Amino acid sequence: MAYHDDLLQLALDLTDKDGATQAALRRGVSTAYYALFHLLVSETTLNWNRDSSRNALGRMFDHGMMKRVSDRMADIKRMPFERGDPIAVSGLRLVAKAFVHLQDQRHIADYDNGRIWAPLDAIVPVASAKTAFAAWNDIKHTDIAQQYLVSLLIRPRD
Amino acid sequence: MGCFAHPTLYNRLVYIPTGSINTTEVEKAVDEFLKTLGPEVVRVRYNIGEDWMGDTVLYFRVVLDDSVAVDRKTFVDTAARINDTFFDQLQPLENWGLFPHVSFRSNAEQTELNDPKWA
Repeated sequence: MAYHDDLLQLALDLTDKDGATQAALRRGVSTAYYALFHLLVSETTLNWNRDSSRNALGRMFDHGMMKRVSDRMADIKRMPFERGDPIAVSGLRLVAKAFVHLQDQRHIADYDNGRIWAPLDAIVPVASAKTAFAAWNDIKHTDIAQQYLVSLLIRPRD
Repeated sequence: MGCFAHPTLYNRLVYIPTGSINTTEVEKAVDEFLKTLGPEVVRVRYNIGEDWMGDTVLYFRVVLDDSVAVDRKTFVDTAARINDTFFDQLQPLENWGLFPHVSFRSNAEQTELNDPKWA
């Protein structure tokens, strides 16, 4: 399996069991974010024809930039996509929303020792990553999805 | 050579500051929206906060009835459906530029944890 698939499975394994510890729940949520992060990085770098350069390209991604782009993508007013395929648009918004939420939850899971995670509290974001993977698989070949990948990497001109 | 062939999207990415938030307006709309949620929602607590980047966001803490926590799939499906209504009905991104971060736990879990932020 690809690295992002392994990460998603690890996140599921960590959270989807009785008696999971706080460490397991927090690592699960964090890992779910990184699963989606690496899926999007992998999908973008696959567009780069020279295989030997893909890892270097993958290191160029910025979490903050990806969050801002995804946040905008989820906003119907700023990105109405009136002429886009509704199914592709819906799938892309699902992925973008999951990315923004998972990134936020990842920061809380990794750094906020005051947040106590209930098992179902952790399972929901991990499940959203799984849903985002499935949605991405359905739309990844569409123009709108490929444009999203480019926008994740390339900083807009001021 | 790469094949980034769709430049239209990123060329349109111009960031617009959220600006000042009218918290009274937001709270009024949120309170009205919360009244529309179904009986599987026991209670919702929320606050306007900042995410790790310093962007203003909405944090919702939703306690769901134990009847939807009979198995994990039912709970996850219910949470996903309710999460969608926060985006589609309240539309906090479109109305105020606020991303809604919605977290869920069951009533039994909250009873056990006795977490004041969710009470």
